[in-house]
Amino acid sequence: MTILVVEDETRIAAFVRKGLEARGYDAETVGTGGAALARLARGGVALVILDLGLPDLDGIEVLQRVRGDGSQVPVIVLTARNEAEEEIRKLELPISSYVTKPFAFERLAECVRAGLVNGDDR
Amino acid sequence: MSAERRLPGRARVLIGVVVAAGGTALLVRAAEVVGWERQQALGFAVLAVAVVVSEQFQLPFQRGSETHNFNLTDAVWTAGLLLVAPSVLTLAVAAGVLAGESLRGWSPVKIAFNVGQFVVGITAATLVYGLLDPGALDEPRTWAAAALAMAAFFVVNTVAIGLVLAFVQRVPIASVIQPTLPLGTLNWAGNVALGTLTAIVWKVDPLGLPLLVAPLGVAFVAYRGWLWSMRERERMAELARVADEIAAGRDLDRRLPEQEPGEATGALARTLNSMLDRVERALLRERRFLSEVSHELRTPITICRGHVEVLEPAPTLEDVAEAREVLLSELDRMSRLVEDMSTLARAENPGFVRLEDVDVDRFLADLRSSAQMLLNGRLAVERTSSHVDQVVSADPQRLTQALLNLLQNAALHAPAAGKVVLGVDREQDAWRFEVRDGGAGLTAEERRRVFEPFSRGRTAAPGSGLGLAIVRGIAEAHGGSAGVESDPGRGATFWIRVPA
Repeated sequence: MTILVVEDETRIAAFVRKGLEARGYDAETVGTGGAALARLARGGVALVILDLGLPDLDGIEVLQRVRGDGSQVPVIVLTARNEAEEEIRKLELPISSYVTKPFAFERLAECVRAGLVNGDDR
Repeated sequence: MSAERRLPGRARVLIGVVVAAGGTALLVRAAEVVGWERQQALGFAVLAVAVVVSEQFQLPFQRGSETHNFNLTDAVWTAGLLLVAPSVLTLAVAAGVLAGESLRGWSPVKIAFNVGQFVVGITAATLVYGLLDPGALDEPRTWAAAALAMAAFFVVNTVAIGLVLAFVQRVPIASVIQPTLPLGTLNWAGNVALGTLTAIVWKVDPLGLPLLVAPLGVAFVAYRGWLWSMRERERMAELARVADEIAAGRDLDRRLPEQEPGEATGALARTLNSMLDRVERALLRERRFLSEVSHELRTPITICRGHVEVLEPAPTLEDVAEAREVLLSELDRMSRLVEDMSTLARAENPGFVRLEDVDVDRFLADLRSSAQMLLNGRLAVERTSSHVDQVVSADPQRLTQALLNLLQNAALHAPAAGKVVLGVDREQDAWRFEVRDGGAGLTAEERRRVFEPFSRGRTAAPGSGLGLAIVRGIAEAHGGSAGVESDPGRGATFWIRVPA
C-alpha cells in the first residue's frame, strides 16, 4: 500500500517522500490535484498527504471530490494558512490531521502512523 | 403614538396632573367670558394670533438628544399681562398654544401637556401680578410687578418641562435644568423686557410697534449667532472626545459623528473620517502584506528544515551535497525576498531615487547588455519617437532595475522562443518605456491586481512576488506611473511613464 504525497513544490515533495521511504513506507508524489484524483482512482493508496495550495484544483476541492466519491482514505492536510482548517471544519470534511508548514518531519511521521492505524477522525 | 406608550409611570402621572390643573384653571377663566365686551374679545384674538405666529419662529438649540426651542411667545404673554384681563390672557394662551403647536404637527399628548403647563404658569403669573397690586402702565413698579409675575411663570414652565424630561430620561432634574438655565434665563429676561416695551408702545400708540422691529431683528441675529457658536463649541468638544477615544483605543473602524451637513464641524468630521478611512486601509494593507510575507517564508523554511531532517540517520555524501545545494538555493530565495521587501519599504522615502540627466540611447545600450543573459537573444529594442529630446531625468540604477524586472517578467511569460520587445517613446510630457510579450495575457481582474505585492498566480514562476510592486514604486518615486495593457491570449504590454 502506498502513501500519496500531493504537493506542487517539488522540493517539499522530495524530502517528504525520502523521509517516508527511510521509515519503510512506499511513497509516490504528484504535483497537481488532477493527477492526485487520477492516481486515487487507480486504487492501492493507503493514505494521502494533501497540500492545499495546488496549481490546478484547490486542495479543498480535491478533498471534496475524494469524499464525494465515497472514498474513506485517511487524508493529512498540509497547509501554510491557518484559515484553511476553519474552512474544512465548516464543510464537515472528515480528515485525519492538519500539519501546518513549516513542520518538524517527526510530527508528520506521527500523523502518518496514526492515520494508518485509526483512519479518519469522525 | 408608540413613543407615548413607552413613557414611564411617573411621567404619565405628572402629565395627567398638569393637564388636569390646566383644564381646571381654564374652566374657571372660561366662566368669565360671559362678562367680556368687544374690546376683550379683540384682545383675545390679537394675543392668540400673536402666539400662533411666534410659535412658528423657533430657534432650535440642540443639546445632547434634546432640542430646546427659544421664541418670542413669552414676550407676547408679558405684554398681555400688562394690557388685558387675566381671563383674556389665559384663554388666549390656551388657544394660541393649541393652534400653534397643532400647526407644527406635534403629538396630541405633547400639545395637551404644553397647553396645561402654560395655562398653569400663566395662572400663577396673573395671581402674582394681582397680589402685587400694580399701578398704571407708565409706572416702573408696574413693570417690576410684571417681571416678578413672569418669573413665577418661568419657574412653573422650567420645573414642569424639567420634571417630565427627568422622568423620561431617568436622570435627576438638576441635570436636565442646569445646562439650559443660563440661556433660558437670558431668553426670559429679553422676552420680559420686549413684552413690557411692546405694552408701553401699544398704550402710547399701536402705530409705534414697527419701531420695535429693527432692534428685535438685530437682537435676533446676534442671539442666533451666539447660540450657533455655543453649539459649534459643544460639537468641537464632542469631536475632540471621540477623536481622543479613537486615538487611545484600538477600534480604528470607529468614526466621528457627522450630523448637520451645513456646519463647519460637520465638514471637519467628514475630513477626519476620510483620513481615518485612509489610515485604516493603509493598516489593512500592511497587515495583509505581513501575512503574505510570512506565508512566502513558510515554503523555503519548510524545505530547508525538511531536507536537513531527512538526512538522518546515515546520509551518504551524495545526500549531503544535494541537501547543501537545496539549502543554499532556498536561502537565496529568502535573501531575495528580504532584499525586495527592503527596496519596497524604501520606495516611498524621499531620497529613494537620485535624478540625473540620462542619455536615452546610452541608457538603452547599457540596459540591452544587462538584459542579454536574461533574454538570450530574444530582446528587440524599438525607438518609436524621433523627438529631439535625448535626455531623460531619472535615476539610471533604479530605472534599470524596474525595466529589468519587467523584462524578467516578460521572459517568463512569453512563449519559449518568442520575442520580447522593449519600446521607448517620447510623448507630450513624458518618456514612456514599455515591455511587450506575446504570452498568455491578463484578465481584467489580473490587470487590476498585478502591481500589488504577492498578487502572482500559482502558475507563475519563481521570484519574490514583489517585482512588479517595486516597478510601480520606482515609477512613482520618479513622479511617474506604471501600468499594463493586455487581453487574455494577446500578450501583455507593461509600461512605465517618467515625466520629461
